[in-house]
Amino acid sequence: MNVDPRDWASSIRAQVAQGFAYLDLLTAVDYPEAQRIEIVLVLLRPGTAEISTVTTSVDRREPRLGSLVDVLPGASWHEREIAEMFGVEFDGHPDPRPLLLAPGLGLHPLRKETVLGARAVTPWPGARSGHEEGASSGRRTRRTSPPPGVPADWLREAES
Amino acid sequence: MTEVPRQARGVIALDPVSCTSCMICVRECPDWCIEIDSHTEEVTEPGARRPRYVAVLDRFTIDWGLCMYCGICVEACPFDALFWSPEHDYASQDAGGLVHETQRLADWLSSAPQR
Ligand code: SF4
Ligand code: SF4
Repeated sequence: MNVDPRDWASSIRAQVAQGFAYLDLLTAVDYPEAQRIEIVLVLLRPGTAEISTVTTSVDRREPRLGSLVDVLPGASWHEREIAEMFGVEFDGHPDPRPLLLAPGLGLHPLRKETVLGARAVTPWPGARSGHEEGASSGRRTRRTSPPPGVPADWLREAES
Repeated sequence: MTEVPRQARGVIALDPVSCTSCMICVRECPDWCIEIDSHTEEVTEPGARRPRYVAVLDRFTIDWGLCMYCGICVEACPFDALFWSPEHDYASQDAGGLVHETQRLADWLSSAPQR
């Protein structure tokens, strides 16, 4: 079920009233081309196998959404995580302190444009060619494309 | 306390006998947590014209500090060498202790229900 962000909290409240009272998952997905961030909530009905998935989308340039903490207190940590990882602000969150990242990091690591710098300097274990070319002799095949999350031109120097 | 379900993703067990060192799991793992060392050995069968080359696995490690328990490696292995086990009691005081070597991974096999 996809709802308008203005109806987010009220829609969830209705789901909880119908018995979907267990918060299984609350996360987000970044869609840069569509300029939106999707918020995904999965609720379970305890004692049954029934699940209810509710989604909404917020504008990526100014992402904000009403907090669910009033409806589902367990949403607190998840919203703090989404706030850090995707830069979404949750209006009415009672305690919006940073949860996982160093204060002042200045980036939202799960946004697609975030460069995964560590990947550029970490040797890819798959670069070893296994037994075909004698991995035990220490020979490594050159990786033809950069790892996901690393800009292509970062590795040009190392490969030339 | 509730029992851990048998199909829980607790730890991944390796069957070193089935593993062909094909590197598929290493390359599919999104977190780069598997490392493999291997070499080839020449085997000459009596009566054969040419020697055969077989892959020998020297070392297989999984770093549980990096693993996100997605199961892609288990799914991707074409040789049924990786299995989920519900065992989960392997916390460590230091990050290096979360890197399990070949034998430690093989020891989980007896608790893997799919095996
Ligand atoms: S479960 Fe996923 S993250 Fe863990 S070793 Fe396998 S592929 Fe890598
Ligand atoms: S995919 Fe399977 S056979 Fe290939 S290296 Fe990994 S565990 Fe071994």
